Amino acid sequence: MKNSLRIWIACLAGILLSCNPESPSGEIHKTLYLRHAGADMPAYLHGNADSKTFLVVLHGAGSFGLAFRDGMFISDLEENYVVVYFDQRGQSMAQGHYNTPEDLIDLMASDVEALLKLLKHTYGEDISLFLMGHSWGGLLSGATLLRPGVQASLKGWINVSGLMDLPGASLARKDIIQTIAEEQIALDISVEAWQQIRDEAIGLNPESDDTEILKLAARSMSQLIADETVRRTVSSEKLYRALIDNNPVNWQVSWFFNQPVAYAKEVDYSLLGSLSQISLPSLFMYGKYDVSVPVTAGELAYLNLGSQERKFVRFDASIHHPHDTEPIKFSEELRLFINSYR
Amino acid sequence: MLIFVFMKRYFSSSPISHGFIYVLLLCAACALPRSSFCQSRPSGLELAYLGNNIWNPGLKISLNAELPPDSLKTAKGNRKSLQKSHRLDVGFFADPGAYRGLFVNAGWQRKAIYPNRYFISWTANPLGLFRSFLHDTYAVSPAGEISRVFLPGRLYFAPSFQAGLGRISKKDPGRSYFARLNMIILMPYNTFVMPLLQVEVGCAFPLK
Repeated sequence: MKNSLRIWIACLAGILLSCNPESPSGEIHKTLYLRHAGADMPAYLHGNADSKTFLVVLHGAGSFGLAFRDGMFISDLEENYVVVYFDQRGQSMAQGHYNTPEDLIDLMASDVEALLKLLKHTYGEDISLFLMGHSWGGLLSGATLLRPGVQASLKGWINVSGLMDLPGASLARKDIIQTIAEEQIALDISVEAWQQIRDEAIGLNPESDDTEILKLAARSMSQLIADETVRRTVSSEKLYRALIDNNPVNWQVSWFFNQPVAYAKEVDYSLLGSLSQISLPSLFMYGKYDVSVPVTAGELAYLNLGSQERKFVRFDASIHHPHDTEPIKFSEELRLFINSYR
Repeated sequence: MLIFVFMKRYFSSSPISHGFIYVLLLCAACALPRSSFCQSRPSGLELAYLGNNIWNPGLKISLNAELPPDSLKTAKGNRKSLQKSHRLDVGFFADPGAYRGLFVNAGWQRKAIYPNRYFISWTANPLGLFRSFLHDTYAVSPAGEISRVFLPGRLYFAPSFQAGLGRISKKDPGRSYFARLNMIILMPYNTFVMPLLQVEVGCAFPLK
């Protein structure tokens, strides 16, 4: 009995004494919580603090901040900057007590604004901040930039496969599925499968068959991977982040009960009309084979952008996650952009 | 899951959910001192490794107050005894990257003990409190003022349920070993609830 107690007390002490490591060389690995409007949201900071350059990453729908922390993010970006992986309100490890707000996107954008203020408060007003959003995070980052004064606190905006216009999404998806199918048939790749996908797409109505179009999009993605047009992106590192580093129960249950995209869809949310107000240097990155957020939707958003200094990069071997499928090109473009404006 | 969907429909995103939970806690606090729960005497102590999400390490200590046992016939004609007890659990765990959690639960346990000394147990702890402890936390007010939060974290109402199996020691019948699956439901969490899944492995000792 006494021995058992001693062992347990030793375990307890070990756990309680564990803390956030912070090396003196400027390399940081730190979890910082933002408390804002009833929510406590973790921001996981990893990278080189001496660079005084912070890249805030907003994850996509149903994802989590640390989902990005593998491969090139660790080996390239964290070497050069501090990457801030943020769990948004109601997602993954974010917690708190609050009622469902009337304007969820506005509240989530105000969370991101508060995070930017917190980073400047903690690491100094002289740090260079870049905001990057992927998919739903692209839309959220755009909504954040439209809040008064936010653009002045940032050096640049990186939009990766961001969905900026919900009402136009179904039509854009239907069109891109047809285009990809025609292209694959012309290249004599899985002709029968692509003919079937194309014919099904032609028969769908974007106004009423949203769910069917999404299902067809999922089939198209599987076919593209089966054809080896695009490589599979699930890695052991990603699984580690999802199952060990992050809590999969918290992640999935949070997503089940809190789906901001469903709200955006319900209110037909679109930033197309407001993008002209964004004058910040911007980098848009989209995958050629993205049937979830088509490259054409990205191009339309890019044309509406008010920024004078802007660049559009298309990834020719990617679906929705160019940072996973073409990491070298992604890292080069991102670093070139950040180093030009920081 | 259907219960969750029903509760989400009727209790989330309204002050009713918070009020409902606090009224429940108040009723329990009033009823508890007069109940048999507080009059029972602890007869056993349990120490267990607690793994939140399996690999987030923690520790759990439980006090058991056994009630008079029942005995039933099994399908094979053997007799198994049904042991009922009151329980008080205190535990904590660390999710190193995100937060640490401390909880206290109270409720009832039933244990079916078979002639070969194996037992299965199931527990309902309708009363529970959970406190999360977060890393460095800063509050940003609507006006943009930033302040550091002292002892950051959240308090949740946290009923829990457990099911497990174990075996009584041959040398010392008061001692046993067990493995259990726990579910603690934190509420209100964000706009609704959050279940925590935990495993525990430990041993029980008699209190003399």
